[in-house]
Amino acid sequence: MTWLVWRQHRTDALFALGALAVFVLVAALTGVHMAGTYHAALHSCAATGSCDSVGDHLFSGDGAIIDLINLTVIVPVLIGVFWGAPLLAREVEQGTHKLIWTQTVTRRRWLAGNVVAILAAATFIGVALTVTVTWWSRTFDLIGHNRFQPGHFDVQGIVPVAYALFGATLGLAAGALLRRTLAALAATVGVMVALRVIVVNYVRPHYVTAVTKLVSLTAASSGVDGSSWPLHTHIVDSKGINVTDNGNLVAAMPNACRRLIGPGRVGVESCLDRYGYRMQIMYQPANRFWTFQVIESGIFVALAVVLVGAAFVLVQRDA
Amino acid sequence: MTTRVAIAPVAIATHDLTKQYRAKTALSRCSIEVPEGSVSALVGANGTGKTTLLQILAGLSQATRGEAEVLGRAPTQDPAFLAEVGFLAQEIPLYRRMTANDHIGMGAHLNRRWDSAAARSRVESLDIPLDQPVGTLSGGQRAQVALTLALAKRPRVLLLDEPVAALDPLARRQFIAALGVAVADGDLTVLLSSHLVNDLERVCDHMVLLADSRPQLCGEIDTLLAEHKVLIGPRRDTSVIERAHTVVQAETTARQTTLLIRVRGPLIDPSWEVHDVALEELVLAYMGRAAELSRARQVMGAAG
Repeated sequence: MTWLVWRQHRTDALFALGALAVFVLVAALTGVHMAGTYHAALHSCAATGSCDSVGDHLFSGDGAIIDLINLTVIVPVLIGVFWGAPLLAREVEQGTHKLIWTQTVTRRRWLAGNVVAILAAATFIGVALTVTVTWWSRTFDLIGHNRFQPGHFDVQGIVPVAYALFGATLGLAAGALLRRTLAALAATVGVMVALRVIVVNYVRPHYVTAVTKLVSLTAASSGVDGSSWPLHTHIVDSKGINVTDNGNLVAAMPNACRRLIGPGRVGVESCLDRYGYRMQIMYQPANRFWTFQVIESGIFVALAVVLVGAAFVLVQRDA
Repeated sequence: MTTRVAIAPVAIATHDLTKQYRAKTALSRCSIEVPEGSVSALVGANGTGKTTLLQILAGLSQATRGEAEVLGRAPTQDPAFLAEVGFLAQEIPLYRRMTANDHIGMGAHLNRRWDSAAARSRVESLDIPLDQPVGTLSGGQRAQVALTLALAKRPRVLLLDEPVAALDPLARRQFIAALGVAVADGDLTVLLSSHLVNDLERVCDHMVLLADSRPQLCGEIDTLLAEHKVLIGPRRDTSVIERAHTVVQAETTARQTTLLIRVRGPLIDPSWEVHDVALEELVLAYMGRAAELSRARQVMGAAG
């Protein structure tokens, strides 16, 4: 099987390897350059004592490379579309499944050989990408960016490997079910995008119960550092009741404070503070990054296992 | 209607084999036997279940009901079964970007028995380039490469689905000749489907005739031809003949009656001119009869 898989896919493999090499090279050059810029900026800001805001203007001219790094999030979809979906569907479309499944190799073994190859390739690409991107992002992380944001969380750590495995198996299972490359391709993209949107927006924030913190309305900072992931912020009254979200903040606030609202008036925050109003912040602390990575990776790897199982069942259908 | 001829041990046997797709019955209670060492033609119009039958025998499809046995084994995803059976699908599937050499190398990796040397020399002897992508070869050359692969596996049963359908007459003749040589070489049972009867007569000794998803005839071609006669005589009542023999086809003009019958006993009436029947004539007569029966059944079904 190894011989056949390599003979069939060596061109694809070499092309992917070439693209990967170019990407790693670009990331390495820009990564070194950005680290240099950052350290130079640290030196100059230390002289003027303005280091608090050093990250605000840094790298504003590096949009193209930042976009490129963020774009690596679509690589798992590409693996699913170009390698996963055609794996079985193209054989059926070209009729070659009837050639290959009548050699002295069971379909199960034929599929196993191909699955091992595609999973190995997906793992390799996932690892290469995430090592590169995680290394490249270290300067950003030093500045204290929120690493839970999609552009960061999804392309760093271990989740890119899990996504790559999931993308590959999603394409494979779609191809095994639909047996048409184009339909499998569309299904792969559709399911992958939908699932990712759902996970990022509705599932990921709840992997671990968020930390809740009350801070004074007049506090200089939010009390949550910039590398944490703020989920929800609202004002509660002295009894702890949320008065922001139901829109009756003005109606509910004491008369003494309401009088301070309006053009040219100040002091409404300190007034509310005196009456026991507080800012309630719900967030995921920065040190949960790896816990979240492990949980999300676990979810996608588990889905990949199910999809591989489905492909093994579907391959037994009539040719 | 089916006659079983049991001479040699049976290589392929099916019993009440039925394949039902969602709305359509592709094969209905099909029972056939193919003796070992024979070259059998699987004949029938398009859509009569030839491909379905061959795919079930090759282990590519599952029957809905009934049994199939190839060399005493049910077709399964088992290397022991797969090793014995060679299959060439109608589409002549090959990897277009791979060369003939690549395909032979692939076979060597995927089969226990594999004769790479014989396959290469066979392709070379046909003047087919070994190192060109097969996508650049002609249809006839591709068919020869595909047949070479099927033979290189050294199967004991070879199933060929319409192997000559896409070929021009010369390539068709070459293919049939090549098949004849391959069969003469060893202990090989071949079942090949076609709707072109004349091509098959050259190489086949047995025939299975499918029509209306059912086998209509099954046996040695010489025997089948000997059992059938064409009777020509003046126009008259044919009930005497119908009682003694099976009338497959009857044609009546104003003056003359032509019958194709399966002979069940002595032909005594001297007023009939008795002729031998040609294979194509026989096949067409049975196909026509099956079509009529099918129509009659539909009418009865609609009436009932």
